[in-house]
Formats: sequence, structure tokens, C-alpha cells
Amino acid sequence: MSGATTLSLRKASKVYAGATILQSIDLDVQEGEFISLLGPSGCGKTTTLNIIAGFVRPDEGEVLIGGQCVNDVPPYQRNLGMVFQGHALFPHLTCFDNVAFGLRMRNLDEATIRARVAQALDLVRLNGFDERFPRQLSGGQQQRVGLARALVIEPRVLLLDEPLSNLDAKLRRAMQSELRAIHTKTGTTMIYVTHDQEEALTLSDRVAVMNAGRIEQLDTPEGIYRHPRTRFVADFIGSSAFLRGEVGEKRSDSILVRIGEAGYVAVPHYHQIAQGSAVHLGIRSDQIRIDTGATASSPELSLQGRIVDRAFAGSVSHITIELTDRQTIVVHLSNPPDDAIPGAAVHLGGAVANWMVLP
Amino acid sequence: MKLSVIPLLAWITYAIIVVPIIMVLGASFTETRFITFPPAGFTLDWYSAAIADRALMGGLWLSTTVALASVLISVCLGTAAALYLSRPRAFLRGLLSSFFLAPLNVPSVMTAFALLLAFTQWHLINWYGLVIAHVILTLPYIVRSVLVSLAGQDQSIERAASILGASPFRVFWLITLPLIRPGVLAGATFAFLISFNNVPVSVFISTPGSAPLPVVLFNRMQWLAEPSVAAAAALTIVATITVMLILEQRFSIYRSMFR
Ligand SMILES: Nc1ncnc2c1ncn2[C@@H]1O[C@H](COP(=O)(O)OP(=O)(O)O)[C@@H](O)[C@H]1O
Ligand SMILES: [Mg+2]
Repeated sequence: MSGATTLSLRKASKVYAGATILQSIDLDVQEGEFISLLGPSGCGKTTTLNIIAGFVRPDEGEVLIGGQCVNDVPPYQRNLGMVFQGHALFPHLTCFDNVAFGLRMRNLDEATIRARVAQALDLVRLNGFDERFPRQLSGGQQQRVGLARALVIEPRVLLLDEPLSNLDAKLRRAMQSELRAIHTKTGTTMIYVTHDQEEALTLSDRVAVMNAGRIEQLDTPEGIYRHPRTRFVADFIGSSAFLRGEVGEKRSDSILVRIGEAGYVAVPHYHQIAQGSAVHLGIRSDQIRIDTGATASSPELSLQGRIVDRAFAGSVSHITIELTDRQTIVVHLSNPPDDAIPGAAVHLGGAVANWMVLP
Repeated sequence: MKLSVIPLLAWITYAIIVVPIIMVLGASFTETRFITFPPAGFTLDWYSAAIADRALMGGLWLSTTVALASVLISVCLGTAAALYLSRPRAFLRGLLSSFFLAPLNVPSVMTAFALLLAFTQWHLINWYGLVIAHVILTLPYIVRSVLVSLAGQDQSIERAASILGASPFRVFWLITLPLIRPGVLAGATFAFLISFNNVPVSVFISTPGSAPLPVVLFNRMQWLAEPSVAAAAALTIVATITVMLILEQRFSIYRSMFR
């Protein structure tokens, strides 16, 4: 990553029929970066890509490519690449002609076109498919042609709108690593839209988590996972449990948060929270530990409750616990004790560092 | 219902379609001086008579030129209208689309009457008048079939072309047009047949001296039912079916009209 900003959105907003679809989106994409827009369906990911591509005009704000405002530049002059959710191949053209399309629009000579198409088809491992029509290819092959078609023009930025969502799980994983390899090899700046958190976390240098037309958090996958800044992010990425509490005593290395009669939780001291205020706490469902003994085996297990349900879910069991103050949380345990059954009283808690304080 | 009835009903349907054609073909071979079925004897004389008949051949020529001209105009106008109507924010989109997609049921005699009134005033009871009238008749079929072929289209295909560097004109020429070509061809074929076979409108907008073929046949059937009329009809039927089969083979036009 060279650190130069290739593409930026500045306060981009979009309203459709009175409904605000995008609210003041700010985004800086670095040269060579793989950045994901991650969010639930309908949160505005495609609209964001369409604004970048120039298919949709932002009502406010601007799109900058290489520092230049391109609001008035039509899509066909932006020199971007795009891979669509439904492959959007030209059904009446062969693979070769599909991939060659962008080069022909640039009036290159036939020899150059042939060489570059061959190279692009090689990159997506589809050599020898030149004369096939899109309908004669499998879903994965169609999407690879779509990728080759977008990459062959050497776009400033490659936009990918849920390119793998129509593929089955196994093929999707294979294509993910292929995409990662292509990114490493070509160094193309990529903006990848997905609603699949695992996909975003494994592929990206940075992830922008979107919700209801806003970017909730933009960070590295690890930052997003370990330090979610909003409840939405904590809930959407991974699986988390949430508790309401009241800020109590501040110690040198932690802050105590009282969870009603259930006990208290120690959270990292760096949080800016005022004593006496109400806060929301979150913790990863698999970072909670429980103990069914009569007394807590560790000071971390500072909450008390009773198991109300236990469900087997493959690699982990989901244990639902009602705390003494009647809040309910779900814990994921890979090896639950045999006596952790409905009705059993438990001590529970998690390491100080694992507790998140959420607005 | 017992399912064995279905093939029987199917055969009845085939018969209903095919029998009139067989009767026309048969009657054209008769040796008698009047139309009869089954034919008495076999002769090809009525075909030579039909080909030598200047009124019939004049009608055939007029029908063909009017059909070609009106289809050409309808295809251009109708395709443009359909492309416009398929846009999300087109004027009266819902209303106009359902108008074009619904079965069209303004009685043609009414259309013809209105046209007669107007065209008499404007001195358009001639070739140009016929073409204009046939454009009015055939336009809905073109709009309909192009709309149908556009409805199945993924708009991201055009966007893909655009982001790859194609200007709107190139997107239209290289992508949109080839994609709707089956719909355009299907519409054009139906439009041609409708124009070529029309009687109720044409009869008002032509003069006895120069009338399209179906009008000539219609008049002859009333006054002078010679087997040459059947021969002319048989020739048109055979030509029509041949053209339709070729188009269907090459372009699957029916599928794009009715999918
Ligand atoms: N052309 C449009 N007209 C009206 N509403 C639209 C249009 N395009 C998108 N929307 C609305 O904008 C919201 C965000 O859409 P989209 O960007 O496609 O979401 P995502 O890609 O994240 O699923 C949705 O509620 C959608 O209904
Ligand atoms: Mg989308």
C-alpha cells in the first residue's frame, strides 16, 4: 500500500422518494487497498457503489477519483471496473468478446486486444473458453468472466457488488481465495460489497460496516471484530451478548459496572464514562466463561444467574442464562460442563479486556 | 376430466386451423369455372390466370409495399416508444404499458371510420393514407413485443457496458439493440401479417382502381368467385407460412413474443 488516496467520498448523500438512503458517507480508499462495504441488505451498499460508478448522482457531496471531483463525469469516462451480483455478461457475445469489450471501447488494435484478453482469461483460469457463450458456462465461470472483463481494462478502482452471493458455499470460499490472490497479483484497488461478515473479514484490508445509510465503523477486520464502537457493529459482526449496567467505582486498571443484583463487571479503564451513568456492555458470546460450582473459581466470574436453556449447535453449545436481575444472555461454549443444564445456578463473567462499552 | 380427452381436443384444434387452408388450396385446383370443394378435376390454369390478372397482381404489389413501408415506420416508432416506456420514470408508464400489453380491442371498423373521415378531408385516400393507417394498426404490436423483450432484461448489462467505456449511443447500438432484436423481429413479423391481411381498414382507404390484395379478393368473392381468387389466396398463404417458418427457425420469434 503506497498510502496515496485513490478514491474518496465526501459527505455523499442520497434521498429516494423522501427516504434518506445514504447519509453523508465519507470514505477514503488508498491505492491498492481491498476495502469492504459490509452491512445488511438494504443498508445502501449498492447505492454507494452506484454513486462511485456514476450510475446514480449523489444529492449532496462529491466523489473524488485521484483528487478530482468526478460528479459530472459519466460512468463511461471514469475508468472504473465493476463486477455485478448477477454476472451481467453480454449474452450475445462470446467470452472473448465480453472480455474484449472494454478494450474495443478504448480503440486498441486487435493484436493488443488478443494478448490482453488472453492474459485476463489466464488470470481467472479460463483459458480455452474464448468461443463459449455465457449461457454455456457454470455460475462460477460466468463470474470469473465478469471479473476478467472488469480487470482487463486496468481500472483505477474495481467495484464488486456481492459478486459471489449467487454461488454455493463451497465455490464461494474457493472464489474468495482466488480473488485474494488476484488482488495480490494485480495490486488493483478494490471496493467489495457484501452482507457476509466472514467474507468481509477474511478478504479485506479494511472493512466499512454500514447500517441504515451510514458507515458505523471503518477499521481493519481485527479492529472491527475486537473493538466494535457501536452496538450495531458488535451485534452484526460475530455473536455478542449485551447487558445494561450503571457505572460504579473507578480503579487504576479498570472500571466497575454494576449489573443490578446480578453482580458487577470490570471493564477496561480507558473508557470515558461518568460514574453513575447508565451504559451498555457487550461481550463476544464465546468469550464468556461459566462455573457451576457453589463459589466462583475466579474473580472474573462476578455475575450470578441461572441456566434456562441449553442447545447443541455443532462445534459449540448455546447456553441461555437468566441473570439474577432478569437480563438474559446467550453464551457459546465448546465444552460445557455436564451439570450446566436448565435450572442450574452459575457464576459467569469474562476477562476485563474482553468487555466492550457501547454507546 | 379424463386426460385422454386432451389429445382429441388438440386434434380438433389442429383441424379447425388447417381445414380452411386445405379448402382454399383444394378449390384453387378445380377445373370448374366457379369455386368448389372438393375440387372437380385438377388444373394449374387458375394460377396462370391469377398471375396474369392485373388487378390481383396490382393488389399484391400494393399490399406488399404498404406492409413494408408501414412496418418500417412502426418498428422505428414502436421500438423507441417501448424503450422510453421501460424507463422507471417514463410519463404515465404504468397506464401506457398496460394499454400496450393488454389485448387490443378498439374495433377496427371504428378506427377505419375515423380514418375515412379524416383522410377524405386531407386527400389521403391513396398509398400514403394506407401506410399511415397501417402504422396506426401495427404500432401496438411492435411496442408490445419490444416491451416484453425489455421486461426480461437485466439493467446491469447496460451498466456493465457503460462502465467499460461505452457511450450511451454505443451501449444502445452494441448491447441494447442486439438484446431486443428477437422482440423487434417478432413484432415486425406480426405487424407485417396484420398489415398484409387487413380488410376492414384498407377497404375504406382505397379506391376500386387501386386496392390492396385482401380487398381485391374480398370484392371478387362477392361478385366474381372464380377459382383464380382461390389461387391468389393459396399463393399468399404458402408465401406467408414459408416466411414465418424461416423466421421462427432463424430467430425463434414466437418465444420472444409470448414468453
Ligand atoms: N432507484 C431506487 N428508487 C427508490 N429506492 C431505491 C432505489 N434504489 C435503491 N433504493 C432503496 O435504497 C435502499 C438501499 O438500497 P441498496 O443500496 O440497493 O441496498 P443494499 O445494496 O445494501 O442491499 C433500499 O431500501 C432500496 O429499496
Ligand atoms: Mg445490493
